[in-house]
Amino acid sequence: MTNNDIPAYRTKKKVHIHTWHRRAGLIAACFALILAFSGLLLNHSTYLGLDKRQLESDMLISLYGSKSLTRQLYFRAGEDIVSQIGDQLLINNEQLWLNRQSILGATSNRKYITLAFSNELATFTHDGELLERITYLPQPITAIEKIGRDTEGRVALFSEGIVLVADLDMISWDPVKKDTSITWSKPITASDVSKQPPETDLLYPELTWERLLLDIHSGRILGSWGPYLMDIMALAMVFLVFTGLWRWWKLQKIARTN
Amino acid sequence: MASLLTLPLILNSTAVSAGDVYQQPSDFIDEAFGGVTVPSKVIWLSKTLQDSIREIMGHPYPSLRIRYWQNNHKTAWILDEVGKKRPITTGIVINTNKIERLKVLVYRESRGNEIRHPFFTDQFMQIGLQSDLELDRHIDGITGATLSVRAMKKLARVALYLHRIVTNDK
Repeated sequence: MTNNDIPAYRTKKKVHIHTWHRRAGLIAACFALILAFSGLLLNHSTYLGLDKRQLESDMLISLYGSKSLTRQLYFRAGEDIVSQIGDQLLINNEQLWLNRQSILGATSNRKYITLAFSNELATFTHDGELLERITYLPQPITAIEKIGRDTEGRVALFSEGIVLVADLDMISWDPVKKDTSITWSKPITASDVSKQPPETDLLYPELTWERLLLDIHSGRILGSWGPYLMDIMALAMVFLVFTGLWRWWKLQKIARTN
Repeated sequence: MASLLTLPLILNSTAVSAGDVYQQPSDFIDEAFGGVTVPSKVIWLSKTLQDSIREIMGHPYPSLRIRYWQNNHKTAWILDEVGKKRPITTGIVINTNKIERLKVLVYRESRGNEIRHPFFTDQFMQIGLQSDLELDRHIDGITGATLSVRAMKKLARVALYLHRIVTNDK
């Protein structure tokens, strides 16, 4: 084939652009499909419930490692062990609740188990049902420093030298009487805990299908280099647009000439 | 025990975090009753109450009881409902079956906190509850805060419903 046989617009220089347009298209096609599908699903993630559905597959969860489990706190509350692993609160290794704040302590009596955070209390029955989240701290306490119990099992709170004791139903609070002996909750070490739950049994509340789709869409699912790869694909698509428009313009020009 | 634990975990599957605190619940309660100390009470959420709350919120309230403060025909409530992913802590004061005040106390979502502004919360002033547990007036939404607005409306309805229960006001 001589240059006379090659269509006029397809000189060596233009074949170069045409070929690269095709190559870029083939490579970008796969990523375009991924972006299109993940984008479609993300646009309707709330309607589809993807923002609430947690990942359950061990393989998918393993992509995220166990970074969310770095915080581990343990407290003894009577006969029970209350632990916080990541955001998850467990009692005797059974999942109980989720709270981003660090637990300060835990105490229990025959009725309830109470967990203390700096600005709230959470009280559970021994069956694990949430009795109440107490976000209104008893006056004059504004930030809890310690939680404990007296000899009768009543919950005590300490803050800036003030000690308040609740009734057994945790409804009202009164200043502690003199000479009342309070046992304050203290953290114990992981080695004091006889058995810890296997990681795969723990929920990862942030690992929803929406999160996975976002990471796929952005390329982060591939690690720290993933976004750069997506950047390259984005630039490839921009390249496709401009080379495609250039080709179209050239063909229009030739058509008009002919 | 695992099955009993599943329900509160599901309902509390959105992890609680500190969030933006616009007013401490204790200060809200103090203001509600003009600085007068009012002891708190609790209302236990029976099956009947939870059924009505489920009708309003789409799910039962995730605790066995709710704390409130009452002085004659005025009650004050501190309630939580999830917007998109995190609970919004809201204070609601009701007087004679009408909302006297509604305020976002703690907001934990990444966006949508426009609901804390008076231009939105003032819409709830003097709003009441119909017999079908719907609000008796329309509430304008906020673009980009649909789920937070929806949460506020649910909490207003729940508070009005519970106020009716504890005061026997009709």
